[in-house]
Amino acid sequence: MTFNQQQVQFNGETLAIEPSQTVSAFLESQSVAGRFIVVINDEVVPKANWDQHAIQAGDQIEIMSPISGG
Amino acid sequence: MKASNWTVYGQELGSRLFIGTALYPSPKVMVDAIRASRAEVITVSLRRQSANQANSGEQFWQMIEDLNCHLLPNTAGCYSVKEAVKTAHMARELFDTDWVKLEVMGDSYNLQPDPFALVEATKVLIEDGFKVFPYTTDDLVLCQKLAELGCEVLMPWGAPIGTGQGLLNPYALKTLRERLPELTLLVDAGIGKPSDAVQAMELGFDGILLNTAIAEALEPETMAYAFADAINAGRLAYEAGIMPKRDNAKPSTPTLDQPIWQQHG
Repeated sequence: MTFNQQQVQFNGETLAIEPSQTVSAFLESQSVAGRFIVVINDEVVPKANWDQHAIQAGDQIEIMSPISGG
Repeated sequence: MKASNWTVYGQELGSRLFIGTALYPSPKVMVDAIRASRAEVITVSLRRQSANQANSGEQFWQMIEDLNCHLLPNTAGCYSVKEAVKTAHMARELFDTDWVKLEVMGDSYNLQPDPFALVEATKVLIEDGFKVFPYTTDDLVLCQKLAELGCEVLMPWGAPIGTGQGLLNPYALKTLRERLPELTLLVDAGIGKPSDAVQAMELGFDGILLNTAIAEALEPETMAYAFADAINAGRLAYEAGIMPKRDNAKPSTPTLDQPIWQQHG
């Protein structure tokens, strides 16, 4: 981690990212693609807000994907 | 001949079978079985991607998109109101539907729904604009409470999930049908073989939700055909009007003008 990076939890693992990164920029940096939603600190971040929502230090970011179900 | 169409939360459907997407031996077998079932509604779920499984849901998503079915996301694995409500909101965002198969379990051994949490979660989700399909026990009073909250559809169990035991309490299911005539009722869980589905449909249930009985058959695609035909047959029988049971025999061949040596009593 460089001096100005911040730590977040991403899918259960600790990650250092650039400060004030938007959700869109973060997803691009992690090559997240396909059908998914973003949940930060247990709250869904709607896709319409991805370009504005800035990730904060300590955030828990989760990517939720479709799976089979009964 | 095909049974009548029906409506679920305003959506007209032809098939009366909702089918799950889990437990199949391969994705291809799943797709073939779902197509054979002629189901128009499939159940799906969601999970957190693990760090080493990025984009793992994409293949599954492509397959279910190609099936062109209505999606019914579930809240499987939830044991509290908070978990279930949170999962439902995530599912709405992920699958772009306000339908939710609400599961709030109370017991991990037989996966029995928690009736108290189910009522509470249903209330919250209906206020949040969801169309709730509660997975419930066959308890009449619980089902009445869920209906009072605004559920148009109820999904009582036939038996615990995955047991294939059939309808363990036909009396309770029959009572639900008689006492809640305006509600759409599906038997969800416990169906093991097509005759179980026929029994439920002959009781007047509107549909069947199942997964394991098809997915774990030796030949899922063939079993899917069997269930589709069975459910249609059961519904046709209900619509045709089933004769009442009698205690005494009644000859089906006319007895008038029989020869004297064939007249008895």
